[in-house]
Amino acid sequence: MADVPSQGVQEPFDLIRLSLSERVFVKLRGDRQLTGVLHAYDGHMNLIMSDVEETIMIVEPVEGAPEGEGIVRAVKRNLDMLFVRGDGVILVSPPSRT
Amino acid sequence: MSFFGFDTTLDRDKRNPGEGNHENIAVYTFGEDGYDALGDALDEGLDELNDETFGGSGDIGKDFDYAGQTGTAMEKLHVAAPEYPQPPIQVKLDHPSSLEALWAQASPQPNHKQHRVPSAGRHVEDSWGRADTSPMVAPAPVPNHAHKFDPFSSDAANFGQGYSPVLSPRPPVHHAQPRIRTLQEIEMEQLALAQQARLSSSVPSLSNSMSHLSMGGSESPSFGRYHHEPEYTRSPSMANQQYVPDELEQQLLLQAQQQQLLQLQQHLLQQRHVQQQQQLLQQQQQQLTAQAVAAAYFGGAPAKAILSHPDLMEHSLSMDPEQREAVMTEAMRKIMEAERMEEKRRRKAFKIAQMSKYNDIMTQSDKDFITRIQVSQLVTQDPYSEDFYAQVFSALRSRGDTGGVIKFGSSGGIGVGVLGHRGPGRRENAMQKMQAQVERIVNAAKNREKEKGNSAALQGALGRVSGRSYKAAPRQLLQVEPGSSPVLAHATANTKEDNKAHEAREGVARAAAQAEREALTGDPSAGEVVRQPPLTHRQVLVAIEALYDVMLKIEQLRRDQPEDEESQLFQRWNAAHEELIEKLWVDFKVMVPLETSDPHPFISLIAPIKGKRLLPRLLQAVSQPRRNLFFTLLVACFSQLDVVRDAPLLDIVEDTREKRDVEKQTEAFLVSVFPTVLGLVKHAPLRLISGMLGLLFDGGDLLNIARTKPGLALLTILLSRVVVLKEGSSNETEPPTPEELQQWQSIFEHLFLLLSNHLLSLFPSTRVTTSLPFGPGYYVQPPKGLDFADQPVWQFLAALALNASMTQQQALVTELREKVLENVTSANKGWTADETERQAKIANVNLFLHALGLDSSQIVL
Repeated sequence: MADVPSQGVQEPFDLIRLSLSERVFVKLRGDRQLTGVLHAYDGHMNLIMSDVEETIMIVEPVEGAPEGEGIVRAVKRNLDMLFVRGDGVILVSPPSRT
Repeated sequence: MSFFGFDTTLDRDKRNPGEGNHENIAVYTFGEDGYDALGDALDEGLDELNDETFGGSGDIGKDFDYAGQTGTAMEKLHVAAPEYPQPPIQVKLDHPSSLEALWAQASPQPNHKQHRVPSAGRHVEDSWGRADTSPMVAPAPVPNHAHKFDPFSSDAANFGQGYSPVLSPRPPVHHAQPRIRTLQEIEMEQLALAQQARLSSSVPSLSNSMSHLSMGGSESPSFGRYHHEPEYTRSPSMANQQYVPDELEQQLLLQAQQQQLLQLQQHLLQQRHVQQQQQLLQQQQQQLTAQAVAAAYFGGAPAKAILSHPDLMEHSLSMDPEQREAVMTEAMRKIMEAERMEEKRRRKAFKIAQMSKYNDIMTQSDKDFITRIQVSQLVTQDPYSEDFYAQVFSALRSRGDTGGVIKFGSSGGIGVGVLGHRGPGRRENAMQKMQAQVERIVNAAKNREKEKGNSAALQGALGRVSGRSYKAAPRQLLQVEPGSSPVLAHATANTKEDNKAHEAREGVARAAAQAEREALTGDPSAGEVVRQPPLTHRQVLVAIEALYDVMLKIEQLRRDQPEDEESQLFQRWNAAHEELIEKLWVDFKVMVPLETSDPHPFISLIAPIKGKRLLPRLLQAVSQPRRNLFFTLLVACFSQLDVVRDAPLLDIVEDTREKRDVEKQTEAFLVSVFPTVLGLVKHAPLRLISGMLGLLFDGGDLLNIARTKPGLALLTILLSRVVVLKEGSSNETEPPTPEELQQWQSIFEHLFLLLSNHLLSLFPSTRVTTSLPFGPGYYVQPPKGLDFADQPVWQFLAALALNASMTQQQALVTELREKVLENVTSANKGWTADETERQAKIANVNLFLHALGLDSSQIVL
């Protein structure tokens, strides 16, 4: 664990390491995304995050409308601490800076 | 297979056609032309036990020969009969009405019906259900009764005989089988019988039936013997009570009772017949019967075994029904338990058997191979950092124990969890075993390595890597050079020169009292500074990670510090240590010229929370002069700090994520960075304080700094330090010289001038209220907790007041008069939400007023 970043970024996980204890954006399977402070991760991309806001996209079918067209509704919830299992993680990124 | 005595020798007939002719059923055409030879396909074996199964040969025992048993019992009954003077029939006929009333629920079924039920349990029920009530008062013989229900034949004739002439004298059977009884038994029987006697009727028939009953048991081992049909039907006496539920016990005891009974019966004859009591007892009988049935049904063989134990029986005989019930329940419970255990054991055995089919699939060398792989993954030269958290965790838990690191001799350790206090016994044992094994393997590997003298330690540990798969691995396309990171590149500035520059700057800072402006423009290195864009967020993060790595290395190195300070090893260690610290210091960019960028690289580095958290660890590692340098830089760039720049966000009323983030940052700053600053200021001489304040003026907008929590806190500790120095109460530094005091005075006046007329805006409560949109919200009570946010401000003002001259104090009071009055009024008039808020308001005001020698209680409204 020691030498890696002192020699620069060598593997993708080094990039995630940069975001430790920083706010990150995580996209998950099942139309979910999270923003929160990353505290830990492992090789499976299991993540431990705090102060998380989870956004779940729900597509509600509209009557009469063709398949695939519906109202997209975002449901949000806040969690103090969250363990994210790695198999659901699609991407981890620093939040877009405004 | 043969059933019901059919001859089963047909196939043999086929083979020996001649024999078949002797049989009266030998009309089959086996072996003839039209025969399809299906007979050959039949399985005609396994006939050996047919006889045993279906009877027909030899003695088959009498275990299930209930009817036969009953028959013999009948015999004995008759045997006993002659000993009584009155024939029971007559007696019963004498009191037909009473008996019928007694067994009135009668379904007038003929007695013999009951005998058809072959199952023991049902039989009992039946006999109880009906026998009680059956109108068999008259001992009308039922001819050939026995033949109907006794398929076991051998005793059938006997039974029939014995049954019909109920009263015919017989030789007493019991004489033939005498049994020795203990005194105790006899005593108990007498007791029991005496009890019964008191309750029972004096119907003459009773005695007779009693005697029948008592003889009924005799020697049969089967528990099916409880249908002493004749007894029940003929004698509805309460005497039954004792025996009925205890059929299982009777076998041993009944016989023994006979003689005793005979005598007792004589007395019984004289007693009155109490009908009610009989009915009562009858109910009890039924209950007990049900019990007995249940026992027979559930208990099965074990129950029988237990209940037939002589001791138990004896015991239970002497007990009243409740006790007996308790004993029965207990017995049942034990039986069930035993059965459960048995079931458990069976399941376990089954599981083991299931698994055992995989036994010995792996050879010993396979196992060794896998162990090698596992061990090669586990063993590490640096167990501490490989399993850092486990090590720290165990260290925390077993404080006081000598180092939690698992080590094998000098070779390294395991990179997995530590032997903590994990449950006693097996697991620990396993751990020890594994440890020993690993050690052995490691040593073996080392020896082998020595022998071979070549190849890397791990090569071959996982088996040979075939050339093919090695080539199939993707070729590395990106060549990232170590140290090519831009962040690290420009960190390698000439430290010596920077040092000089900073010393110069510190000197300038000292001169800040005279000319604050000059302080930084006079920096000799200013001309050489190459302006750079501020570090990007990403660069900062990369740099912080690098710093953490260095930090961890330093801490690791410290753990490995050699004992002997003189040795060469220590020299080398010391050199490495120094080098790392130097690297850390350089990487932290404290020495980068001030004008390099805005924010300064160092300030950028402590912008993320993790940067702030790293700072105290860094400062612990470096020397005191360097800490002062850090302090100087921090103060000079104070306005660049994120916690200062973003502070206005804190004054927003609504709760946004940005606000929360800033709050967290501020807290982290106050918790991580500030204690260090406090420690430095505590020992600072007055000229340094003056210099710092001068730098603060220089660095940017002092008012804005003062409006932030960290800024205010910094100002407060600086002013407090000055108060301490002026009082001369600190003895570790020489008292300030008059020039220094002079310098301070002018700086302070400058500060006061800057802040006056803006003092109210220092209060978060004021800022929040003014930032509220005009409208209802303006009049509503401002958000709670503002008084606590105000507290540092009051503290600062107190420090200010202590340093201020008389006129300055007056100015202070004039400006703050409104605020003080507001607080005191709302506290006194109860405009506060609760008691704590009220007290907070008063305490805040007092903080300030006490510095002026006043108190809030002196204020008269």
